[in-house]
Amino acid sequence: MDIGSFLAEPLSYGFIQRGMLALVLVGGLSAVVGCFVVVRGMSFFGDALAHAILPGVALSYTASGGYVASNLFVGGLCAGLLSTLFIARLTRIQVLKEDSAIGIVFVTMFALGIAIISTQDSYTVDLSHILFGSILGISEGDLLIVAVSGILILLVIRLFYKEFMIISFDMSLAQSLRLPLDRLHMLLLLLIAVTIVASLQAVGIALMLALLTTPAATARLLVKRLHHMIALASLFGISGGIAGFYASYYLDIPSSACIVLSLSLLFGLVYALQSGWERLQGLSDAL
Amino acid sequence: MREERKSKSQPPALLVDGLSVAYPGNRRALEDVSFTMAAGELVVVIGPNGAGKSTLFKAIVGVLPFRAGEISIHGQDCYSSHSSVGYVPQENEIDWSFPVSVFDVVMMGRCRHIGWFRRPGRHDRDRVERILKQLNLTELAWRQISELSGGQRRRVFVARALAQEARVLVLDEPFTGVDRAAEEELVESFTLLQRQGIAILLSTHHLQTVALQADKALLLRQRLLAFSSPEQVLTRQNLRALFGGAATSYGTGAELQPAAGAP
Repeated sequence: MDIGSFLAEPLSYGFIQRGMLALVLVGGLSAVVGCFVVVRGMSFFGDALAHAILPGVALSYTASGGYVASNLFVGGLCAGLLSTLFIARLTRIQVLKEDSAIGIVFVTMFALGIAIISTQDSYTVDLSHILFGSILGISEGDLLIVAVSGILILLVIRLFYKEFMIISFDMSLAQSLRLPLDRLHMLLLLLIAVTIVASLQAVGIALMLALLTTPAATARLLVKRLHHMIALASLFGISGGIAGFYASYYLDIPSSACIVLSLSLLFGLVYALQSGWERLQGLSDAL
Repeated sequence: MREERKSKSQPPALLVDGLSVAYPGNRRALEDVSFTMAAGELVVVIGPNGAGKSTLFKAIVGVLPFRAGEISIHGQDCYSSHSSVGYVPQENEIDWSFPVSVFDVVMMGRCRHIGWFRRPGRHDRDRVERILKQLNLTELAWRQISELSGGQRRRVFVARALAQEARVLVLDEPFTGVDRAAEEELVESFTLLQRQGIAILLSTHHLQTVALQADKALLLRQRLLAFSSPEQVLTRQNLRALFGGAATSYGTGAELQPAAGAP
């Protein structure tokens, strides 16, 4: 089989085309938002938020009679926002560190979600769809939601880019400039929540974190400025989406696992090349 | 504001009046601190660890809410004029691995001047480039901030305060981890700022620098113990009262260490 037909064959079906497009959109979008997650050291929060949307998703899911549909988005988003607020509230307890607050909210919400789904007859199948994604089940409506929320997220990041950079880098400057810190912080968390919910069907809850952190971390190895990092990370995210798609199609492995593994492979490759290059430079300096 | 313009006496660049700050757990961090600074003045704050130097600075910058007292900048209440206070935090308060270049950090100071939803324009870029040149940072403009020496890092934040058009600059321990040559360069940049009428408030352990450069010295240990010219303030007696018996003599340039058992 030549390259052309290798690449074209899966795309002969409409539902597979949609899946491919979804993976590319989600890969790129999560990578952009993920840059803020990575530079702010919020990976744990990102992972927690992805898990904490489960009860919202589960409620939408059971309400529609076990059908993965657009209303998952609304349910997931509500649960995500609620969890964010809970975490913000618990963080104010002075004897608790933030990661404990995040941990408690995350497992509570996740357990609640499992309890809700378990009321369904098709419990295990449903749960695995939500946990690991079901990219081929994505409808045109879902794809539209992903695309629209993606455009909105990118627009908001563009509009508030310099403020987001400041609140991520130096809170004391943000405070001395009298930026509306709480609102900007909430807006950023909202962007992360929307991204997670939009990516739900493509990769599922369990592996969501990889989409947020791996491309961004890979990009950080190579560049020194935030907007370069964002551009490069989205490139890595999109490549991961494409590679994951084909691997999934030909190897018959779930798309979520494929996309995450290709992102990790990319990270490993970049890291190996970079440290090799540095060693080479060190060697030539020594000579 | 209008009334103040009418009055002939100019309001001080920085006024701190009856400032008290308490931390949770009711430990008094600062009590009833009052002093004023004129435009272009350099004031050095001296006190042992835990004396409340950082607390004072954070209150002036607006990072820390205070319990009682008043802070104003050029006659404006600090809540309406915080954008005119520049802050150079202690080195360990900054994430140096953050992906920003020197240029980016200095441009952050322009944020409010650029305005919401906008990106830096020609005017802002020109201004940042000019400031970088003034502080001998032009060649370092595209370095990532972790690739800088201690002295260079401080100058980047001083440049950011200039970009911010700050009228009061507050530096928390700017000479810590900075070698002699870089220290001199930093002090030189202060002269540049002072000429532009910027009032500079800094804390330090190096008495030598204070003696040479400062207009006034402020001794702080929860309360303001002395505030006057360095010659008058930095007497052996005052320093012994401030640090306990372990104070080194004035003028040796040795680092001050708080006495054992001091907070």
